[in-house]
Amino acid sequence: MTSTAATLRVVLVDDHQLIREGLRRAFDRAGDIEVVGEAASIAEALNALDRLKPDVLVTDVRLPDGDGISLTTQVRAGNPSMGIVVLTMYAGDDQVFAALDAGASGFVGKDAPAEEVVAAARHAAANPRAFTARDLAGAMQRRMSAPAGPKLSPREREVLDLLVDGLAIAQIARRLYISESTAKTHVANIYEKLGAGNRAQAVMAAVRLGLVDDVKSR
Amino acid sequence: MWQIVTVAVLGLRVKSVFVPLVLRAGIILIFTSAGVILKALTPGPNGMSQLGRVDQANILLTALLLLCVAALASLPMPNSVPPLVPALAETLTAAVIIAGLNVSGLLFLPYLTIPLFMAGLTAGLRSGLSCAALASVTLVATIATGAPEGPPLTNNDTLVAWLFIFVTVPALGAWIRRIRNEVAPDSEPAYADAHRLLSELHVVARQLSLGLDPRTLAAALGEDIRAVVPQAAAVVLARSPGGRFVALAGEETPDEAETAIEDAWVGAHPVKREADGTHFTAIPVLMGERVVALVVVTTLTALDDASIRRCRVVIEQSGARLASAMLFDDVRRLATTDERMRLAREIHDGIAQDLASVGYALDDIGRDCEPAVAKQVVRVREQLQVMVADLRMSIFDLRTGINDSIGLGTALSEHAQRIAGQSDLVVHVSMDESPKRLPITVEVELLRIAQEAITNVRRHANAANLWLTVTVEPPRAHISVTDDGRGLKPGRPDSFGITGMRERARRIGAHLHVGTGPENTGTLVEVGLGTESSTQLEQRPLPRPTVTRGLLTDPHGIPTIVPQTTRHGASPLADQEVTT
Repeated sequence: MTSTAATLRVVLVDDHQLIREGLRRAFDRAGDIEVVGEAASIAEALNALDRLKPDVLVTDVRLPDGDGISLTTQVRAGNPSMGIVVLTMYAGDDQVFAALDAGASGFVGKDAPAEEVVAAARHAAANPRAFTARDLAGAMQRRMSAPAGPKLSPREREVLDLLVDGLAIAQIARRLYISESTAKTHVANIYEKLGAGNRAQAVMAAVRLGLVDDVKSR
Repeated sequence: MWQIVTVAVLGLRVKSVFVPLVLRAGIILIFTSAGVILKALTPGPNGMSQLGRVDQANILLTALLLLCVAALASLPMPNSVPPLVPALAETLTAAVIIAGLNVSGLLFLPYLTIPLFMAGLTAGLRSGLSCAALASVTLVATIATGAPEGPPLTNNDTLVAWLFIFVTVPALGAWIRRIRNEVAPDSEPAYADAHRLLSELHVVARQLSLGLDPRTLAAALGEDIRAVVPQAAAVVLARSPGGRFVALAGEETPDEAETAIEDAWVGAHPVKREADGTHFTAIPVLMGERVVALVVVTTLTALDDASIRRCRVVIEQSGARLASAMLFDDVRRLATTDERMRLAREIHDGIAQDLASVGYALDDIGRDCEPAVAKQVVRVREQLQVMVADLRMSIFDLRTGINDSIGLGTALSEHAQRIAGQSDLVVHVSMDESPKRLPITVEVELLRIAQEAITNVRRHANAANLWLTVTVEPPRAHISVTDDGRGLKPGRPDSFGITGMRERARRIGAHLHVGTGPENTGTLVEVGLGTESSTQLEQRPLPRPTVTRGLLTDPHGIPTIVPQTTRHGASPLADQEVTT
């Protein structure tokens, strides 16, 4: 059809045939892009990628035998330079970040016009490791403003402070006017929330997470 | 009356004794008569009729002794006795009697198959075989020591045949036991249990006067506590898996009570605490060993042990009810979540993909046609893009919701921001959220109501601005969604969306108001929880004042605690654990 020198070779992965057909037409129209393969499942996709070695992979997220995010992770592990565009009907920041973490080059919603998919594929081929998505800035902002880290209850904070001070369970119990078994349960809950196996790990985690004031000021 | 009971009890006993006894007695009887008849018909080899008579007496004696053994063995055993023990005892005594009382006693050898079979049937193959070994050893030993000239078993073939039978019979019993167990498999006992419990719950839920609504039950419990401790405020708290305490009924407790609440929850016994002249007593609601909720009683003087005991009696009575209601609520929430997930999948895999592919087809068509048509195509394509974006939002809303880390305020403002990002609406959000949270089930309903209202604005109102105000002050909340669009159209108040919002509001006991916005433009949707009407809560400064005794009123606004200004110089950590 076209004989441009630098032809981008694309593999489309989506289990809906009409979606694949629509995108194929859009890519064909672009001129310098050729859809060299289509797949409707992860298994078919891996097979096609292995066989065709395309420049860009365009994959749906929800597939019959798995999800496009894990396919992205798997493909990225073996192909640092392949462009990967994640295409999805799912909305939500989590999807965007999952695609980013998996090593995708771009993220496009299925409501966007086909030209946007084509543009994302071009970008992916040129900058496979530079992630683009429409609402990335907004998503970043929302993630930053969300509180992170484990939440300790007020009593657990008190117990943690005494733990950091090096008090034994019995001393903590006396100090807080509670029974020893109650103090023990509080400590166990703190360990679980901080993912610690012992006091030293709990103290380390608390300091790292900024849950306790500077140890030196005590 | 007593006769009837006695007969009924005897009837039960007789049935469990009857079958094994008749079986054993039957075998003894058959072989006794066979032996007697045989001896009578055949005179001794050398005409020794004398010996024949001795044998007949012997046969009868053996039969009598065996009958005694049979009667004893047929008695029902308590469950604490392992089934192998009676089987071994019967085998041993029967074998001694049969082999010890002269050779003609060997006539009764078939009797031994009964305890062997029973051992295999009730205790399994290994037990059956040990019984068989015992029988063989006893027989051989008794014959060897007590009856040197006994003919029948000296014949090797007969001996081997009997040993074979002794091994086969318990094996047969064990085999039948296995088949019986396979026929009635308990492969999914957990599911069977769950089904039984849920069926019971279903029946119970329909019969209960208060139903299985945790909030109603918690409010009733609060009333009951006030009945035994006058001049007190009671709040029933539940804990979410995330560790937050939320009030099911009554006013939220002030922060001073927080550590006492935690300690009572963790320690599963009442904890007292005093702060600024107010006494809090946190009493756990127990279901078995597990704490399912807490009742915090607030008083101006410390509760004495007798009052705490009275409270615990009241709590004990309604603990099971409340726990079941909370569990039921959770089951209902899980079922709803499941159904929403299924809906999301259905939309995602069906209509949404079809519409998206139509969009791609339009993109294609728009490139090829005349400019006038292309303009129209672009317009249709834009509408389609909005529709698909809508569906993506619907799928997102169906799949996500409120959980332990995402509360009503966070979820709503995220939703509003996304709406702002995907439409031309300017969204103004005003959030006034207490760090305390409402029960998750309530938050979910409020979120859905607000989402529906926002969706209505986006789809139908043709508005430029949307104002979302959220005030959460558990147990009260108020949400309003206002727009400057074209206002309510006739017919809209009865539309599906508003009916759904009303249903949700009714479920959590909230008021819903749908009307014309301020200055007679646009639409206003308000939902109020814990207030007499849907109107805005009075604005309260946040963070809350440290002491909020003014808020210690019952849900009907009758003050139960008079604000007190005298400060007691108590330590802020004066918690007391009560171990009554």
